[in-house]
Amino acid sequence: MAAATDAAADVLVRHNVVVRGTGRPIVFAHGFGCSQAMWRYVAPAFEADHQVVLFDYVGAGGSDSSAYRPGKYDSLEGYATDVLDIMAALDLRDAVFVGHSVSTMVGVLAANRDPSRFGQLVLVSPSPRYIDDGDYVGGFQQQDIDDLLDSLDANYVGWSETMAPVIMGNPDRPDLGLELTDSFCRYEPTIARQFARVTFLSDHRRDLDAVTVPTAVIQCVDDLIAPMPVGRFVHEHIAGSTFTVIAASGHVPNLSAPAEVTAAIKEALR
Amino acid sequence: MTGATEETFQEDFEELYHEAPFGYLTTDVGGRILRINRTMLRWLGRSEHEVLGISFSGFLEAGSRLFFESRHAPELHLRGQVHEVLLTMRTVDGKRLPVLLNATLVHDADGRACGVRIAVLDASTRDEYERTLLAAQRAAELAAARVTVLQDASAAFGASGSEGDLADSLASIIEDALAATAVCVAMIDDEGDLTVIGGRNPIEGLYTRSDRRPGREVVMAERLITVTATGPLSTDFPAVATALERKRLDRVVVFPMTRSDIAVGVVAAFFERPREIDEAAADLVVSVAQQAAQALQRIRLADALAHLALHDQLTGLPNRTLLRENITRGIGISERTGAPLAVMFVDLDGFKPVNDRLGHNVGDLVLREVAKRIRGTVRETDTLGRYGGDEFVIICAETGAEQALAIADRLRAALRAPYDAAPGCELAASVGVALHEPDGARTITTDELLDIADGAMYRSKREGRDRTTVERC
Repeated sequence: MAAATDAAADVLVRHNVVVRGTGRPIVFAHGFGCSQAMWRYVAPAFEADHQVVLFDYVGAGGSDSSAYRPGKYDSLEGYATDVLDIMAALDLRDAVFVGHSVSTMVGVLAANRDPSRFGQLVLVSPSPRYIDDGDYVGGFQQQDIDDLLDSLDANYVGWSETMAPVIMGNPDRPDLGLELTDSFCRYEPTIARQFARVTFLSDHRRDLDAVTVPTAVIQCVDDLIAPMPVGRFVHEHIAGSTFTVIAASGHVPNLSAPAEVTAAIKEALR
Repeated sequence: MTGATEETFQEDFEELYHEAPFGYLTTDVGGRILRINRTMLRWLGRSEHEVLGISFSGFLEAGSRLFFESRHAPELHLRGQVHEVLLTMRTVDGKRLPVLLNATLVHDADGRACGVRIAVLDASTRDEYERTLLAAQRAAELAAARVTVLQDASAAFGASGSEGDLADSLASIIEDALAATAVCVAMIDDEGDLTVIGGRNPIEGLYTRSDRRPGREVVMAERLITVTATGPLSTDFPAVATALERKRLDRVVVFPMTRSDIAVGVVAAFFERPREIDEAAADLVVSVAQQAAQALQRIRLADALAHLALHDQLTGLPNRTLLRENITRGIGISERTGAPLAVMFVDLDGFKPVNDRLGHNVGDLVLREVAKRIRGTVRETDTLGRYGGDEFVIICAETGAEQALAIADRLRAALRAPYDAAPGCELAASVGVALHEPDGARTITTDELLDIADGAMYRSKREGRDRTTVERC
């Protein structure tokens, strides 16, 4: 029993898990390139009546990068295992899983493997496949992913933990300054490289058909990474899912349009 | 004092903005362009009405767009700015425009983010340089990674004491080097079949006899074979493809494992998504596998030598050295637990004439047959060995006089039966049993116990052969 508790504690530390509030559990999962900080303008709105769970994937934010195993994380299945580990460690039931970007597919895989823990999936800016394939338009070509990896390597210094972030005046949000020293956008470059490949070269279209958990899809009007037809594809392939278009542009509405995203999630939970 | 040039060059802010030697634009928080200067428009080869209201990242090359949206957009919102980001834009005629970009988030009076200011510097002259650097850096990293893998491998293989340990190390090294979901190692056994000796094999059918086996083909062809769950690479090995599909694996890549240019086994790497193994990676796997094959041979030789040193070559039974070790251990256990220990000395009656009349070759055949017959009469827990010549020793733990006599009777009966290799020859056995019944006061040595058994055996000989004498001690 003690060993099981230790293992659970290890999982919570490994993923820098933060739990706030009480009520129905709601897990927020961040996308590629950042950390749980991506949910900082959305998650607080759920603390009053939910048990809000935030975490970092291994390699991101405050996670334990030494837990990274290239073999485990060479597909989103490894990330889905971590999500299930976190849910087991907190013994979550009937949980709402809110995933952004690549985390939408992580959520789909985890919910397909163990639906018993999930009450609802909320997929923000989802894409099951980024590369075009026959009639399917994902928006990108294989070559684009190589270019992405070039970009990633060319901007390597920006990822490094040791680079002190330059703090610009942000007088109205003094809390931001504090977090800067935590380097929440830290991401191990070698891990980021593999995560980028796994994220953008994966094909999870057929996993959509297997989803049994009630699902809400939230789509931005103008998203060049996961465009409207892709969001619609996800909606059409998950039986019984709802589809909400929000008046926001870009791929990170959770940061650029948090009020709209919050409202859409609340609507989905009603 | 006012200089003449300053008086004549007095441009307004609009001109300063539009004609700045860098691209300058503002977007809303979602990235849609609100204002853009003429320098930027000239670089892009576009007019203002074509770009207003359009996402800035739409003018980035697709790879840069992915990166900017997934990495820099969050950073911009959380940090308030991004600095010196190297990206590639696309001009209207499709030309690459490498740029350095700075962006800051703008807040309104209530402190809410309301827009983004972006400055864009032309970095085309640095582009070639950056690319060369990047290529060199990657080559260096790759080489360093390769060296690390080879070093780790040689350290791990050197430290492995058993075949299983070594195979597991090999599997784990390859798993990390290729970022594979699972790796298993199989070697060709004495029957010529592939047997898994380490790592993890998540599917059936990779080495089974029933179907065409990729493992076998890799050994024959000595080159790697890839089998996928679906698509063109799935048709050659349908059973494997089905097994992959069932386990949600995308593919397995099977590499040959060679020693001195001869295939001795395979290494199979399993992946959950489509992965192409380039030549450098394949070479690395083959080199590491080769190292492992050599280390495996070393371990097998060492095992064989150890076996040789402790076993009799003719019968394969433990030899005198190993028998003595086992007796010593048996005495220890017996004196600790108080359980009796029987050591039986068996000497063949009538063996010398076989050797003299029919020669040593026949003698050897008979000795092998004797060993086989005795083995058939002793119990699983008894240890049988050849002490020398036509003498055998049996160590029976937790065995009293009655049981010892029963075993001796059984083996004497078995040895009396005729021998095909030596027709007409009659053999029997004289047996001496040293029965050690520890009383806690007196201890006994291995030599003493063997001497007593030997003495008892001689008494059996003296008293007419083919009988058993028990001596308690």
